[in-house]
Amino acid sequence: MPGKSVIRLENVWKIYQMGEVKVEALRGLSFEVSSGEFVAIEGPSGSGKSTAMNMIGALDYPTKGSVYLDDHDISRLSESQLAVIRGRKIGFVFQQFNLLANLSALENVELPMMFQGVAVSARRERARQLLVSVGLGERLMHKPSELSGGQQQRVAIARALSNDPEVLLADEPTGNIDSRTGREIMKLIAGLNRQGKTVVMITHDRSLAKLADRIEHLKDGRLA
Amino acid sequence: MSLKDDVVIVLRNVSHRRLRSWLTVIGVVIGVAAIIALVSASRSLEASIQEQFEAFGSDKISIYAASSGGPPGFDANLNVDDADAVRKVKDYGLVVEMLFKSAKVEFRGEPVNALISGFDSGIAVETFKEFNLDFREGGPFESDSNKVVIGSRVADDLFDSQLFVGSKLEINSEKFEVVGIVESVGNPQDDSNIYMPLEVMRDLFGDRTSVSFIVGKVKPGSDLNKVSARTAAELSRIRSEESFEVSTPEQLIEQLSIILGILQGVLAGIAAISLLVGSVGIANSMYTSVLERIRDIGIMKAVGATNAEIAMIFLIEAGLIGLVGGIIGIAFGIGIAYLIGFAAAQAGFGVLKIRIEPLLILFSLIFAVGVGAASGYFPARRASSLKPADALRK
Repeated sequence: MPGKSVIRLENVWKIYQMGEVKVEALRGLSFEVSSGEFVAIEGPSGSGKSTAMNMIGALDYPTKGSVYLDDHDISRLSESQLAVIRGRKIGFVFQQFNLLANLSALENVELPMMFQGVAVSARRERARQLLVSVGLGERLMHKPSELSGGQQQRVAIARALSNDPEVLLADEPTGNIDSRTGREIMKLIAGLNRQGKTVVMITHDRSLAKLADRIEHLKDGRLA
Repeated sequence: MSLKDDVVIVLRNVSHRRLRSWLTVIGVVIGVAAIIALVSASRSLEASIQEQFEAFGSDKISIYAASSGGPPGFDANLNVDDADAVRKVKDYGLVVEMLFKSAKVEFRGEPVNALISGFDSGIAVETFKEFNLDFREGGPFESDSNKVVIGSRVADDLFDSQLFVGSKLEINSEKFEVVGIVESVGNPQDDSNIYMPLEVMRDLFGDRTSVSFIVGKVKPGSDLNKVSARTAAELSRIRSEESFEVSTPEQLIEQLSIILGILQGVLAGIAAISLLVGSVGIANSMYTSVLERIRDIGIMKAVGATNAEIAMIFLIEAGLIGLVGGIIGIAFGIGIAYLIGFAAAQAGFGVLKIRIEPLLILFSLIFAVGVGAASGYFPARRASSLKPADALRK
């Protein structure tokens, strides 16, 4: 049973100026995610998936149209206001893991809580618990370079959960790891959804998309 | 994000790029060390010279021939009539006329050139005392006989063998006996002097009239400037106005300060250039550091870092590099300054006592951190204003 609207995109356009050429990455994308849903956005490369991810995750501004988070229009907010929203409401899981190489697994998971001003003892304990829950209780002090791809992605998932965001936004989460480890990562994400976390996953892989409650097909910058 | 968290992140960044960080720090170290060493050395030089003048006494007036640029006294354009004229001026307690000549001095068959200074044997005791020449051995000559007092370098360094009281010298082929050796005053020129009775010196050189230098000690409570003016007026009656100089200690120090000021300016300029190079180094390092970490910046922004928080991290990193470079630079600078003092003492300039001013240290430290923060500011601002989507694409 779908709950309240968490993310809503209304007629979102994103036009990049590449030298003399204008590239329309999104062409009137409208799309809604409700609380507790697991939605997959599936499409071939060049369909505008990454741009859609940037819009949903408040990582970039739309050229036209509006993005609503919890029914608030966030497409006109300042950079710093967006940063605060990203930190509190959205947890990112990237294809490239995007961990900070010079921080330990524990510190990487603590990082979003640092920016929210969580006290050291509280955030360290929470980071430790999250790493234990993704099966990395023995790897707290390891640097990303000392971890396998699958382990790094687990750290990234723990990091995404650290501020208990409303939405987990995963961009090709298994794209850089072998298929067996990929299935474990997907199991982890699906499990989080079953515990109530709203999940939006962007992928080109139809078999992964099938794990979601709902699949949206993106083609030429809008839903097909 | 708390300051402590910022510092933790910065320390991780810095240690991750250890070599680059140290190279940047070294740039600051060189700049700060140059400032500390050069400024300290030149200011110590000024203070030391001032001290020597003060030791010479604030109650003495110097009279010498107007020189064409050489050191005062060596033109020997004054004569005994001038000395008599000065003696007639009211309020002088003691007037010493001095004659300087260069001569061939031989000891145990080893000839060297040395500077001979002559003054009246009748007032020799007072003269040595007024010039702050303390005896480490023997004492002053007290009659017009072939006796000399020698400076410490004459005794220790001028000849292959050491001289003592009782040693026999040959000056211009005449025999002299050393009766006293004075303590080092800390500059090699004065320490290489040989003092002899003026009358003996006039016979030795066949010069009955020349006077190189006249020093007048004014009576206690007299106005130095008035006595100086009276002296100038008295000398003007028998000489042309421009052919002599009458200087109070303040005037001498003033003249010296001009030269020292130029020296200090040059040294400070060199130091400033070093620091400028250092700050260009920090700016360059911070800039490349930002470029290298654009992706990290995107990650931090994605997980909730605001522009101000990103800028703060880079600013603290640059400031920290400045601080560390500043502290190490100060330590090196102090070391180099003392090394300069040590080298000067080895070369006979024991007069140069190195002193480090706390204010200079404070200034250098603030400057290093400031330069660091300033050169980190622009890259930091640039870094923080990137949109996360753009930063993550790098």
